[in-house]
Formats: sequence, structure tokens, C-alpha cells
Amino acid sequence: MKAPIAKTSKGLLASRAGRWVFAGLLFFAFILLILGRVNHPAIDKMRAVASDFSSPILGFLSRPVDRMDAAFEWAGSLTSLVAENTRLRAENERLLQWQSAALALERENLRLRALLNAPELASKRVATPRVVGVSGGPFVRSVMINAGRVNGVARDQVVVDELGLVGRVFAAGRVAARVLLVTDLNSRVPVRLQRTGDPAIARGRNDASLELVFLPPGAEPRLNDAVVTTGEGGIFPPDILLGHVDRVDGQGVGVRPIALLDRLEFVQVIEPVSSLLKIRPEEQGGNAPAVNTDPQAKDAEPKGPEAVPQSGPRSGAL
Amino acid sequence: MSERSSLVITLLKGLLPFLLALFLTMMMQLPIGDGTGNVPVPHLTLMLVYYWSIHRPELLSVPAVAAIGLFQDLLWGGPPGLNMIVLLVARVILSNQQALFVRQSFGVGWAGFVPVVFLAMGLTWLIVCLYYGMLVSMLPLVGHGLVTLAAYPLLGWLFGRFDRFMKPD
Repeated sequence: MKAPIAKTSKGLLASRAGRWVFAGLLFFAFILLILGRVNHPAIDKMRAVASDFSSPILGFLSRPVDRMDAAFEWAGSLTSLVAENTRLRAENERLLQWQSAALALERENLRLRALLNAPELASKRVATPRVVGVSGGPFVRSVMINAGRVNGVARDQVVVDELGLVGRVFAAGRVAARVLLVTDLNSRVPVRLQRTGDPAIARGRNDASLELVFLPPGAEPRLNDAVVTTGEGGIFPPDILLGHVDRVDGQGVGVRPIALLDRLEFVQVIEPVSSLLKIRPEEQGGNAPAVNTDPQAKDAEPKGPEAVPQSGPRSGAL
Repeated sequence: MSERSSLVITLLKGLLPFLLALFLTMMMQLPIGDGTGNVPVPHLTLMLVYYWSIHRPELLSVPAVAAIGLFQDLLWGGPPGLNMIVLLVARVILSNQQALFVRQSFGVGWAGFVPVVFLAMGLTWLIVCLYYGMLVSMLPLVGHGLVTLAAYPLLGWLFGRFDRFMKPD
């Protein structure tokens, strides 16, 4: 097969104008790299515009892809229906036992909080958008969601799925936003080992797992230890399950995220912890923080974004 | 057909490679397979720039290539300007080497794509290392490059059909 015949042309750099155009565009690209490195807001705005432009098209294009994925999954599940049914029955029985234990613990926790007047940080759900795009780049782990500023989504809000932490919003457009996944090279999440309470930083590595760094000397992480957020740093609310330790060796400690990062469909966007500590306008007179200090006062909260159910991603304790 | 409508059609045809590139950039964002990008996605825009730089360079100007790279960078969420530089360099180098590939078989065209992919991946790795100030693993890039090379015959064939459709009879 012969390729289409084309006219040959002189190199683009043969003319002076061509050289200037090329040099100017390269210079512009380097400026963009520098602005990106220093997290200049102009880059976020440009990203937001690009996301807004492509979000409706991606939303339209991703529907048949989702349906095809669902069809393949359904066809695959047909072959293991009986085994799956038996497994689910056993799991259901086990979970019912856990549920009664959890309810008893929750009641006890609420009573103790009331006795101690300890504040509870109730995460507020901002939106439940759909994932319409993923990053195709080898060095980026991010997704695009079809909710933006009009839905209350803003930079540094936290994104979770039904199991655990997904990432945080790093650019919010009008109708779409980009989410940096916890596995991205730029992602840093303050966490602790739930069993021992040892704090650490979970660092993304651009692959399927994260790495725990800055563990205190003497910490003894074990395989399958649950890793949850600490709430430090002002972004991630405390006690969101990030994942479980899947590697402890001379090279470090690895964490496999619990969220379904490989097949995200719908996610929840929740307020960052810093906004939960801000003073509400109606409470400015009394200097009361916007945290729920009274477990019985949940019903009295103003209408708006719903609180994330405690049985959702914050279930690492079980 | 009136003169005005034929002018509009000619203009639209001139814009088609650019619009196709924007479409392919968005296609690279679709959540196909592993959503986190652990499964490499072919670099569709690099293929497009390669094909049109050789066969119809007059339809893909340097500013258009820069705009495609920038759009891709903004959508990917990675270092802004990265793909802009990679595609611009590929476009300029190919404009100087075009005579080597013209009137050659498809196989030669495919073979010629190998050094372009190596160059693009190497440049990407270098910029990413400088940007983050650390040595990043080359493994994701190797997968990305191999998938890009493997996908070229199909995409090259499609580009050829597209190109014939655009040419005036």
C-alpha cells in the first residue's frame, strides 16, 4: 500500500519568519511550564476553560463506552453467578454482625462525645458528579468530573467514592472540574496507621499504589493495616479510609488505595476540612465554629449540602 | 456550486486535521479500560502530527500544532507546555525530513515513526524530570510509546482515508 503522494517542502526553519514563530511558541511553552511549576492561578483558569469546553462532548462520548463496559462486566459475571451468590450470602451474614457492633459503638461514641463536649467534623457533600474523562498521559493520574462552580465545586475540595478517598479537586471550571487522584506523583495525603496511630504522609507514585513516607522511628506497619486520613493540613477530613498496607520491605511501605480508581463512575465531592472550621455568618456574633458539637443537633442544621453518611468512606474503623 | 460555497468548503477542509486533532485529544480522555491511566493510551495526536507533517504539511501549521499540544496539556492535567514542546519539535524535525518519507510505502512510513516516538518519549521524560526535579520512572513511557507504535497502522490507515476524502477530485 502506497501512502498518499505529497509535495515536499523546505524545512520550517528555512525562513526567518518560520524560525521566529517556532522560537516564540517554544518560549511561550517554557513560560507555561514555569507558571505550572509555581501553581499560578492562570494555569488553573486555562485548565478550567479546557475542561468546560470538553466536558459536554466527553459526557456524550463516554456513555456508549460505559454501556459497553457494563455489558462486558455483566457477561463476565454470568459465568460465576452461583459462586458469587454463596460468597455474598456469607458476607451478608458477617456484615450483619458487624452492623450491630457498629451501631452499639456509634451510640457509645455519641454519648461520650456529648459528655466531653468534643466537636465532630461532619463532612458536607457538595455534589455527586459522574467521571467523564481520565488523563491519558503516562505521568498524570487525574479524572474529569461533570460538576463545576455552578454546582458548588471548588479547588481543594475532597473527592471520595463509596469505599474511600479518591483525591482532591485541583481545577474547577464552570460545569466541570479536574480531580488529582491520590496515586498521582503530586499527591500528598497526611495519614495515620489506624492500628497504631502512627502518622505518615501517603505519597503518590503514578502507579497503582502509594508510598508511606515520614513514618516515625519505631513504627511497625503490618500488611493489611488500614490507613486513614488524619485531618491535618486543612484539606482531607479525618478518618477517611485511604487503603491498606500491601508492602513492607527494605524499600519502604506501600499502600493500595481502597477506592475503585480503576473504574470510577460516580464520586462524591465533599468540603475540605478547613471550610468545616470556618465560622458561619449567622454564628459570627457568638464565635461558634461550624462544627457539630451536639450529636442531637443534626436535624437543626440549615438546608444545603448533605452530610456524608458515616457508613460511606469513613468506615475504616471496622 | 457557487464560488462562495466552494471557498467555505475549502476552508473547512483546511481546518479538518486541526479539528480531528482536538477530537482525538478528547478521545484520549475517555475512561476506557483502566480509568487511572495504568493501561497506556496511544499518543493519538503525535500520530496525527507525524502523518500530516509528511503527507499534507500545508494543512497543519506550526501554530495549529502548538494549539493542539496546549489543549492536550490542559486536558491531561500534567505539566502545561509539555506536549506543546514535544509536538512542536516533532513537527519541525519532520518538516526537514519530509523528503525521506514522501512516496514511500506504508511500511517505511511506519518504520519512520519509530525514531519519532523514541524522540518524543525521551523529550517527555526529560521535561518531566526537570519539571518535578526528580528522576521519574521511564516504564510508563515505554508502555505509552509501544502502544503508540502498535496503533499507528490502524490510525495511519484511517488518516489516509480521511486525507483522500479531503483532497479535491
